Amino acid sequence: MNILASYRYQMADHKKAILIFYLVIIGLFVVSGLSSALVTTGAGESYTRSVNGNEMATVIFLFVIGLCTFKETFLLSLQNGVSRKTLFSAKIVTMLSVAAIMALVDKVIGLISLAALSLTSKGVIAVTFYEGLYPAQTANTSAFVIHLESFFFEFVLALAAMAVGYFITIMFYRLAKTGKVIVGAGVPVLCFMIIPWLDTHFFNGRLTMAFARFIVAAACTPFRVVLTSLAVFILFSALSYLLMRKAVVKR
Amino acid sequence: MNCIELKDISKSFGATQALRGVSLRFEENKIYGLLGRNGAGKSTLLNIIANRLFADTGQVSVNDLPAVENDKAQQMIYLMSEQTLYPEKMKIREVFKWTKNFYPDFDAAYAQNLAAQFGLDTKKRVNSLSTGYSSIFKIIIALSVNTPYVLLDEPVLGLDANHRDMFYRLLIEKYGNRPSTFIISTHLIEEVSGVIEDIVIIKNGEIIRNESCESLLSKGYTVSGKASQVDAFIEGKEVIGVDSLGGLKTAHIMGVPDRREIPEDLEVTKLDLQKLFIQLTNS
Repeated sequence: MNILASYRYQMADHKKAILIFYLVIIGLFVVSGLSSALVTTGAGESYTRSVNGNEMATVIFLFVIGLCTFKETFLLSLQNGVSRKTLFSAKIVTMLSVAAIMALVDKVIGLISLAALSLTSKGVIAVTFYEGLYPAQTANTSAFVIHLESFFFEFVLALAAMAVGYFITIMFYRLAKTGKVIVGAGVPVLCFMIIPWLDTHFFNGRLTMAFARFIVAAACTPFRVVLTSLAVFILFSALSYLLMRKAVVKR
Repeated sequence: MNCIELKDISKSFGATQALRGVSLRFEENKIYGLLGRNGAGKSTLLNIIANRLFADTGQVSVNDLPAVENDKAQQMIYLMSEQTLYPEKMKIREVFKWTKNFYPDFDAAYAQNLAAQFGLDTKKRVNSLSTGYSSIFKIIIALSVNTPYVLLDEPVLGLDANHRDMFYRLLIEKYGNRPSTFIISTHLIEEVSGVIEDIVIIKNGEIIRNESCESLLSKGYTVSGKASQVDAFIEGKEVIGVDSLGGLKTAHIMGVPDRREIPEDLEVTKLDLQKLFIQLTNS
């Protein structure tokens, strides 16, 4: 019962932000569609245009949503007799629902804009963001499968982004003032100053190369991205739970 | 057994020991006064019961169910705390709506009625309320939530005399219509003394008194009259406080009055709870 109540609240809590996000996205698509319609191509010429940039916008938006949704919901839950484990379970279901709904809406918006672009702009070959990222893997695949794959691709990326955002916000909630300063300033300094300096002076660029190889290995095919994203989602959700289970109301 | 039971609860914050081995039982359908000086551990105790803080040692149960991280147990408790845990930007009527979502027995119509009586505009946002109205807003939810255990931590903070009076009246009315356990933590001892049945006094994290109000107050008495007569009477007795006004004096004395030795001109009344509290918690 409580998990349902908590789920209902968390979904409602996201509703307004998501509506505003889509108003902006639709507005951008309208402007972008109008500008595309005005582009003329020479006889027999064509150019490829990618639509569905909103997929990445959604992933970034959901990372921010993850960052913004812990404290208020946590305090409200404790006020209303909801345990931490119930709140966490409801949060996972909320993440799954929000990611699925937004991936689906993005797909619908994408299909409408693809159709509109093909109708209004001559000589334009419209491809989805997913096709643009993985042209080799999608070259001989049917449109239906591409749309299904790209839906799932965005869904898991969105889940991973939300889980990372949620973990960061819980970590900052749990940390004391000094810890916040250390992590807030220390992580960027470590990543963007100390590691590059060490890499240049002591490792001869091997750290950067190893990182690049890891990224390539994790993202070279859609399947690997799905696996990596799911692993990130599970790992950061588990870490969030470990932090949340002992979180208390702070004065 | 239907009660909130605490067994050997200890809690410390760094070097400060807030609670030391507290064992206590809050029985059903009673109004308790949880009294203690600032920093005595009252809020910590209530927050541990409501799963907002974790005890270092000990167990809390609600109707025999473990209270820690247990939704079933926590659904029987509502804690109105000094700190507002509702989202700042949420409107009062939305808070009512969501409270109903979490506590199905929440009486929204009664809450609206109380809001009208207190003059609380439910279209306002939580963060726009003054200290007094913030207390009123939380009191309204606490009185409408209909859980078996309602914990009120400083409920009358910032309330004017009229609203305080209204709150005590509504509390008694509510208790009469639908009895449940109310635990009231407050500093306004005189005011609350007319409402509470049982008293729990906490001092430096330890329970020093846990008995009925009547029993506690029967441990002493008050005499008042001409200053000279009162002075003569209290000689050699355990006096816990004296008030003087002009030629009149009132003395609060521990022990059982011996009617035979009390001069006719002196008036004997019940012990003053606040004076007793000060005496018990001063040292």
